[in-house]
Amino acid sequence: EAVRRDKADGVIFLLTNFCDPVAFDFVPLKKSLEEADIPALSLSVEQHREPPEQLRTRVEAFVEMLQEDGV
Amino acid sequence: MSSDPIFAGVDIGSATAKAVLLDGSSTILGTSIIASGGNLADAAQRCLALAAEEAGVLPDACTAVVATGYGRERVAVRSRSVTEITCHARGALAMFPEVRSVVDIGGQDSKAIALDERGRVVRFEMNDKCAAGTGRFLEVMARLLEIELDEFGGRAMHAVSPVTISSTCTVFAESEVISHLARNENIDDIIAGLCSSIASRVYGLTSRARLSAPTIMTGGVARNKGVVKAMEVRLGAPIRTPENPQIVGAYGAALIAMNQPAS
Repeated sequence: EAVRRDKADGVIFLLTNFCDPVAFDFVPLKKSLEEADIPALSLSVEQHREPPEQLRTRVEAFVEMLQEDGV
Repeated sequence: MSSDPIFAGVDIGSATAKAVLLDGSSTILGTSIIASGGNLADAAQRCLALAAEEAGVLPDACTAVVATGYGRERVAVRSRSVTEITCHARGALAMFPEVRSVVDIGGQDSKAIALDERGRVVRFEMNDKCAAGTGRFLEVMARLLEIELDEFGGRAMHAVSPVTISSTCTVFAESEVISHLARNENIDDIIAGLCSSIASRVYGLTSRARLSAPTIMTGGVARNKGVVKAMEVRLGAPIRTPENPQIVGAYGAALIAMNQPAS
């Protein structure tokens, strides 16, 4: 509902590795987003660490994907 | 020298740096592939200069330069940078207009990209930090088996009964290969097993990205027939590969440079 209210183009999930309570909510959330045709990106992050370059590529590519004809 | 516009794509990957130069009608004027090495900014300049030399123009004659690959921010002359996911999709689409999915396996990353009927990226999946299922895995194994990387794929095609490599981790898989060698298994069978192991690793990504046919394979590993064949078996569908799969990202970047000059 929050996604629809704010008219978000897409949703990024940050899942902390080995944090199961968060991962538990992720599955139904991702499913309902898919049903609503809202793109979602999930990233696994480790606590207390700088995100590696590959995470940056994922986020940038996700933004480029949402821009559609913007590239 | 004429003042026709020239558009460049520079793709600085983990293993190799690629450059493609296009004229205003998207004809390829020059390409280059060099090792990325330890100095990415230098590799960017050198690969651009080589492609310009082939095209018969000066490196600074480019109207717009789009940089991609994990070293994209190190390309000093870039007009902008775009991720390799968007660039590979764009390059593959230009080469094969009917493409609906791209599997890109590079030196340290593998990606599965799904496109819609208009050729836009709709979903993508990328490997985690681990080098399993990438070109690096093949490099390590080729070194271990003392076989040139270029021969690797061909040797896999001669396998009679491929071995199973069950470890996904490169380091563990290496010791598994050593055990196979100790048991005097046929090298071609071991190589085929390694190709299948990459394919099954990448299959995890392609399933999550829910790819549809036709699929194009890009990146250096697409030159390896053994991996392409193993991937076809996994996907249950034929895969097409461009003549030079390594430059698809740089080609896509150059096309983006052409469509959207420096802002």
